[in-house]
Formats: sequence, structure tokens, C-alpha cells
Amino acid sequence: MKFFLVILIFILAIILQVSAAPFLVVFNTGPNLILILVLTLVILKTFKRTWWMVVLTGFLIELFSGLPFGLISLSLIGSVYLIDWLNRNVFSTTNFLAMISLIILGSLIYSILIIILAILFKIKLILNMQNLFIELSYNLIMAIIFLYAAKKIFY
Amino acid sequence: MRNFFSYPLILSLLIIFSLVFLNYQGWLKTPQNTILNLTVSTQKTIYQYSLKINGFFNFLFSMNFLNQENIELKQENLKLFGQIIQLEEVVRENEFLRQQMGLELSENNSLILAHVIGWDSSNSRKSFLINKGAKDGVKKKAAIITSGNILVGQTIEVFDSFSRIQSILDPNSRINALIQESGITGLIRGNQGLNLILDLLPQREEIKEGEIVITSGLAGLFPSGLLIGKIQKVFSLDVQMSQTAEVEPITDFNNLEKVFVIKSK
Repeated sequence: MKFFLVILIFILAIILQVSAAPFLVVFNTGPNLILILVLTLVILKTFKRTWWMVVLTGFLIELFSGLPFGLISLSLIGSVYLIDWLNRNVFSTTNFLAMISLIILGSLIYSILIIILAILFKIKLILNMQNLFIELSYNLIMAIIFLYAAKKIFY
Repeated sequence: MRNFFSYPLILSLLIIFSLVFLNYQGWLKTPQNTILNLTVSTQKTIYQYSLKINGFFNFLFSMNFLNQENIELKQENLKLFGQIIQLEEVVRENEFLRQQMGLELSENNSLILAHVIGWDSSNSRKSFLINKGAKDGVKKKAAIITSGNILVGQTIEVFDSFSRIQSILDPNSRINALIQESGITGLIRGNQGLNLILDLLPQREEIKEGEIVITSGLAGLFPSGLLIGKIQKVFSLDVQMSQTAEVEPITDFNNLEKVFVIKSK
């Protein structure tokens, strides 16, 4: 039951990301609902148990993205894996503050990976320091909401 | 072998690279079509409601400026009314001269009406999806406009019932353009998603703010005469070979709902 619920939430989040999130854009930057959702899931359930969901989500986002196929999936898997490693090896306890820090760090790693891959693919991105700061702030607000909702579902 | 599959990261990367290969071969078109078909109605509904909510909040925030805006619009309306009368006279004269010279009138391109159903998942306004595709006669690299012959972008990917449009705000898009008043040609590209940059303008030419930029029709990708934007700021340095100008797009990308695909004959 939980499995279908998680899949349904992901599909709904992707639809919201492409249909509603563009209206929350400030200075050409908006929240990345999918990234926060994936990071929340991995922090709560570990990468080993959720890797297939990350791959599936990456594939679904690629369908709605104008970027070359694979760029988002690779950035997503890279950032999620690093955050899972940090969560298991660096952070001793997974409290609310640690989870928020991990999600923001995950967003930052994701953006850096996107930039690196875009340079490799020779693509121009709409991304600067101002955009990055706004996106991280936006993701922080969304992360607090998501974590609260995730706790209600899983615990 | 069993050990290898116990590493989820390697397995994930293997699947992603396989998907990239399948996509490169064009074998993912069917699942892409199926998923988009399944989500289209929900996407369209959410997009329409978001548009309405956005419009409502915009109205609330702009209430204080409405009176001033109304006065300005009335003045502009009068100015435009005068211009229309002048232009109608020019059209009549043009038609008469064409008939006298035995020239045929240029055929109009037919249009396909489409609804915007969602933007690029990265929020960067680089591309968006419309609900018309190959079945409706949409082809790759077709120009996309809104009412008033205003250029929005071009199709970059065409599915059976959907198409992905690269907006003119995308820094990777290139459009041959010209300044309507002076006829100076240049190249338009997106500038960090907020406005446009008109590049490769000759150094010696004088370019004024507020001048209208339209498509030049060079390279044959876009029909000529489609509106793009207004010159906002001109950057000219003696050490550079050419001038650049910031262009404010005429299209309101925040409230984009319906577009037309130009079906070239």
C-alpha cells in the first residue's frame, strides 16, 4: 500500500513541478519539488532500499525536461548517493536539523553536478549565484513541509 | 556477478546509461508518448488552475497601479488607432501597386492552435510542452507564435500528440532578427531567462531604445516579420567589433496559455 502511495506522490509531484511550480518562479528560479522529495525519501529510508525509485523518478523527469537525456538522472543519482553516504558516515543522528542540512547540501551538490555535466555536454544553463541562492532558499522551505508530511506517512 | 548487483549505485548507473542509449536510438518514444498521454489531462487542469490563481494574485498586487496604467493604455490606444488608419491606407496602396505590377500576394501560413500544458521541469523557462503533435501536423523546427504574430519559440521535439517547444528565452536558441525601424540585422539569443540579447549589430550604426525587433527570415527557419521584442539597452564599446542590445520580449511568458504552431506549406 505504502509502495503505491509513494509512486502516486512522485507522479503527482512531477505533474506539479511542470504545471504549478513555474508559477512560483522568482527571478527565473523556483522550487525543485522532485529533488526534495527524493532526498527526503533517501534520508529516511537509505539509498540501498530506494535506488530504483530514484532511477524511475529521474527517468520521469527527463521526459518533461528540455535538457539532454541523462543529465538530470545522473545528477540526481550522484547527489542522492553522496547525501546517503554523508547521512550514514558523517551525521551521527538523523534529527530534524540534520535532515534539513542534508537536503540543502543535496540541492547544492545536485546544482553543481548539473553545471559540470552541462559543461561536458556543452549546454548553456540559466544558472548564476543569485539563482542558486533563491533555489536553495525555496528548497529549504519546501523541505520543512515535506519532512513534516513524510513523518506523518512513514511513522 | 551476484556481488556486482548488490551495489545499487553501479546498477543505477547501468540502467541510466542503458536508457540514454535507448533514447539515442529513438526506442523510448512509445513509453514517452504513453506517459505523456496518461498525465495530459491532469497536467492541463493543474496548469489552467495555476494560471488562474497566478492571475488573481497578480491582479491583487497590481491594483494600486491600475489607474495610472489605464491612463497610459488609453493614450497608447489613441496613438495605435492613428497608426492603424495610416497602415490600412498603405495596405490598400500596396495591393493596388501589386495588381498593377502583376505580382501575386504572398500566401499565408496555416496555423495550429495549441494549449501549453507544462514548463520545463527545471523552472528555467527554457522549454514547454504543448498538446499538439505529429498527428495534428506539427513538424520539428516549426515556429511558435501567440496572437498578434509574436514569436514564442520553435518545436525541438515532436511526439504523436505532444511537442516540446524551445522558448526564445533559452540561451541555446538563435534567431536571425532585424530592427524594424533601421533594418539593422543581428542575432537574438536568451539571456539568463529574463530577457533577450541582440548580438552582432554593426558598430557604426545608431540603435535607439524602444525600437522594435522582428524576425528577419534569414536562414529560413522562422518566417520574416514576427514580433520579438523592444530594445531596452544598448551596449557599445569601441574595442569590440559589434554592438549588443538587451531586448525585452513582448510575450508574457508568465501567462502563456494558448499558442499557434505555424504550419509552413
